[in-house]
Amino acid sequence: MATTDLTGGEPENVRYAFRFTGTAGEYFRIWIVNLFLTVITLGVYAAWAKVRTRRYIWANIDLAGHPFTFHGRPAAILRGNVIIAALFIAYIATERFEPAFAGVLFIVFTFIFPFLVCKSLRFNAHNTSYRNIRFHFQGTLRESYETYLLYAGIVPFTFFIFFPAWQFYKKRFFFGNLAYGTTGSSFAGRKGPFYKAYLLAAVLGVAVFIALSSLAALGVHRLSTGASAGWGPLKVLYSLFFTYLIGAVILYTLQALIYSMTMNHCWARTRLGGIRFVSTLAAHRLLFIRITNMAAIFCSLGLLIPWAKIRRTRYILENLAVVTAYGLDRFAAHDAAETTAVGDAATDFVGIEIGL
Amino acid sequence: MTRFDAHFFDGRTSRALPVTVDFDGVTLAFGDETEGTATRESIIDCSIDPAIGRTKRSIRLPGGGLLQTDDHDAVAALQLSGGFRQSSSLVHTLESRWKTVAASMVCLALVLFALVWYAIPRAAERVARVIPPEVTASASRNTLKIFDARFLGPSGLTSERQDEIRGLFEDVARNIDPGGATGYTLTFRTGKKVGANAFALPSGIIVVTDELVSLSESDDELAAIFAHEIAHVKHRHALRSVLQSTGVFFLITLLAGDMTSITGFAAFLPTLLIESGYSREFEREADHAAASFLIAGGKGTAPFREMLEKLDLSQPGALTLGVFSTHPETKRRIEHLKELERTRGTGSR
Repeated sequence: MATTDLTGGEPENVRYAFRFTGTAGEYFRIWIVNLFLTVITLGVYAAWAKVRTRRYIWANIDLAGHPFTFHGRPAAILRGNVIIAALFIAYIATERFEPAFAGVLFIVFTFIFPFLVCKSLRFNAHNTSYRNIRFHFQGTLRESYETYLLYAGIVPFTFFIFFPAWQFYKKRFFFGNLAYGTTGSSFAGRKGPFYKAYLLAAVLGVAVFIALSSLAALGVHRLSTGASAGWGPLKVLYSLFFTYLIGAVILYTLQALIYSMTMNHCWARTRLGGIRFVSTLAAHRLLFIRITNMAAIFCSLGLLIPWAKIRRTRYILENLAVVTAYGLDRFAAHDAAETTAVGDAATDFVGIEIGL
Repeated sequence: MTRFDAHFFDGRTSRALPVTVDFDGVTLAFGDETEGTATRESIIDCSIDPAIGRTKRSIRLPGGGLLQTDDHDAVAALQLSGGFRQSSSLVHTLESRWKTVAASMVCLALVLFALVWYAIPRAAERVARVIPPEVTASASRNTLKIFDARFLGPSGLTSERQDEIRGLFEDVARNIDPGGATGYTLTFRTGKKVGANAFALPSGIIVVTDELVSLSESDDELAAIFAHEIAHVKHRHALRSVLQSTGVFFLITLLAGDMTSITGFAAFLPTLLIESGYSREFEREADHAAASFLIAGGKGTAPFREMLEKLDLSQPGALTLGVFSTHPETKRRIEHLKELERTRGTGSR
């Protein structure tokens, strides 16, 4: 309820934490049925499966006692899937049979990509509602091309010094263009924390690499000087496994570090009307969840994928909260006529998922 | 009369209004007369979002309003009297019971198995038959260029010896692929880094290294190797392998869905397993063709077996990777060739 204070003092800040109510058992059942129907329909059902998964996840995100809702329609996602599949087949065909032409295709992809990102962000935002009010994404194509073509293109020419800045622009494009009903977001993030996160990750990455690979070398040395010295299958698998493991652990460590630092910063610097956000992700917790998730997936031959996804989603969401002195009741919807005229038709035509 | 608690959202602001809804079988009524929020809607004009898990149910009212409730039984009663046909209620039924979930799981495993071992290879074979051989020409030229730059050197064999071997090669090609014998060319190299080896490019170029030629002690032994490589080209194994791995990639992508971030690494292992399985199957097919050729010529499979043994010895560094290996173990291949000879004779009269 809105806290209108009649005593004349400043209204007090109230913190509403996100809760995630999804369970592994429930999600496992949805997941298996989705996979089964997707495989027997040779992928056509994938669009319906995605809608169902999204609806389940969104409906289990709870803020101040009310859930989110996903409204995406399977037909739009099916169109998006067809486009992605066509691009993929075109890529495979040229790469294998006309490698010279692959360069041309790469350039075409590079130019389509910012368009797809923008469409994808709009699709997801417009198809999300909370308390019967839709979200919007107000990023323009121009901004998308600036971020994903111009800035991305600059990165290799600056010996990747510009890379953290580019990551910052990507986040700014997302966090600065969200809207809930008529209330637009504002983003006052800075590049400094991004540089700090990537620098820390670089230093840590080198240290972990040296530590782990000397440990692994020790292990290989022990095996090869043992009773059955020489290169047997066991040793090859052992060293392959270790290389793989070292790579994965380093990658996860750096990802966890960068993700927690940049996301906490971005949320802290985002305002939505009278609302501010608090994200309290901890890198070591993210890393622990990621590694134990991978081990569980590996040991269960993939059957624990739903459990892993629920666990990670829960951790990330339950470390996010909104703080406001004005309650959550006062957001107004967009003018209905305006959204149906242009917005929905354009954004609902193609649903595309781009991992950002 | 059904009565349940819900929250009402009018769709104009984010205000959550707690209400008690009365349903008399035809009309939904809620709100307060004195506050001016009293609402009556006929159930026929409303739509109910499909159920998913135990999450809140949503009833959408004609004016853009929304009722959300935890009372699943009440919504089920509404659906019953409203005569709603639920498009995804079948899916919800499948999901709601562990029995049907277990059945889906078993069916999924069976379908996956059938796809990987029957449908994808068969489909790839069909598609490969339709794709004209010319499309592989430029990729083959590129592959040879890369190999030349990295592993191979020019051949040291005299042109007389090369012509002699080429004559043998053409005989084998005519025998294995009578209709397309002119499509095969033999090329000589030294296998600087790869040693004794022979391989086929999809466009019909077959490369043999000097080391392999000197390892062979008879024309029959060389012919066996040629037959094996020609069979790879004739049966379009390279193209089929590309098509099959595309199929597998597509399948794994479907299975991993939008969770690629979690499963990216985990998906790598099954892909590797399946593809090395495919590769071993192609090797078996080519071995089979070579054995048939030798048996038909009255030579038995001995020349091929000896060649395989010598090749195995010439590469002491070769690894036994079991299920990850692209070729079956030499021991297995030799046993298989003996088996073929036992069932079909040596061919000698």
